[in-house]
Order: sequence, then structure tokens, then C-alpha cells
Amino acid sequence: MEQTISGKFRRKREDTLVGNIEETYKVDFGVRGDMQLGTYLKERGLPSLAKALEKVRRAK
Amino acid sequence: MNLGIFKQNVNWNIDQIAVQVAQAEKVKGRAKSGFYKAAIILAASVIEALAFKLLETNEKLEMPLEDWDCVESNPLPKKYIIDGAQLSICKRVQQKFKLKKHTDFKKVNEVAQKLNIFSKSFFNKIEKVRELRNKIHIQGLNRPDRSYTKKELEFISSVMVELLDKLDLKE
Repeated sequence: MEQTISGKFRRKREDTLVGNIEETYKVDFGVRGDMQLGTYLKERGLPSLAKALEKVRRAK
Repeated sequence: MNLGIFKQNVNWNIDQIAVQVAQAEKVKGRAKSGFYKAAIILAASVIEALAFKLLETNEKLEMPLEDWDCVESNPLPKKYIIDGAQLSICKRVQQKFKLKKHTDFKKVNEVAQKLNIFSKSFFNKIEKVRELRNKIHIQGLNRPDRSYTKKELEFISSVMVELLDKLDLKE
């Protein structure tokens, strides 16, 4: 959780969505935008890369 | 090094790896190789950064001694030139290893192994990653370099996971 300027708390997103990456880097992953990046990588035969991503994202 | 910036940069590089994977998935056969090469180089650079960070967090350990070095060298008169080499008198010193911003990947791995931060088997794995990373130096390759695969990327990623297990990135 982190505190916003207005004092409210919001949950930090730990699970990057494919759609966000597509939009930021102007690429097309060819899957639904609401798929989590970790899931995408796992399904593509890269479970360790998905795990590494998760570990880095969660180290907050 | 600021941990927040470090993590942002690691994050960005992992995003870029995912982008390369997505591009590789969209093409067939050998065309995948170039995208996997880019992903592998990116992943290896993240590993180098994580290994550096891990060693940095262990800086309080007793660092190993470097090789003997000659300082304050005083050349002897020219009559002492032997086979084109001039003899000199110097102080031989052996200094403790000090981690610097530009300490190379190989040295970081060697010191981490000496300090038992890396086991022998992990050292072998991370050295394999370093060798893959070194393929960025095209001039050092003695055969056509075309085949980069998802399997190699997955291997490098597994090394990254092992490193992340050893490292506390929490702020």
C-alpha cells in the first residue's frame, strides 16, 4: 500500500498487464491486454522469467 | 547506488526482455534468433547488475587480496636492459579487493565465489551467462553466430531467479 497526496491509500500494482507494456512500448503481444505479463511469459515457456519478474515487482 | 533507481532500471530491462520475447513469438524459425539474442543480452546485463548489487551488500566481509602489484618503480640504468626489458626496483604490494562502479562481471563473480556468496555450481552457471553475454563482442566469435533460443533465455532467467533469492531488494 502507498499513500497518495490526498492522503488516501491505494494498492500498488504488482502484476503488470500486457496491455500496459503494449501501450508504453508500442508493441503488439497478440494476446488480450488484460493478461498478466507473468502469465504470458509462463505460457510462452519462460516460467523462470515470469518468476524473476514477479520477484522484482514484489520487492517493494 | 540508489536502490530505487536500480530497481527501476532492472524493471525496465525486464519489460524490454518481454517485448523481445513477444517479437520472437510473432515470427517463425530462424527469425526468432535475433529477438532471443537481444533478450539474452538484456537478461545477462540484469544478472551482472544483480551480482554487483549482491557483492555490494556484502562489502563488510573481509575482501580477498588482489594479485601482487609493483608500485614506486625505479628503473635501473640502461645497462640492465635484458632481452629488451628494463629491470627496475619496486615495492611489491598486495591490496584488498575494492568493488568499484566499473568492476567487471568476471571479477565480481570470482570475488563472490571466494567469499562463498556463490557456490561453485552457481559460479559455473553465472560464468556461462557471462560467456553468453560476451557474444555481444562479435570480433571474438570464431563461427557464424545465429542460433539463440528460448531455452538459453530460460536458463539465464533461472540464474536470475537464484540471484534474486540471494538478494534483498526491499527498500
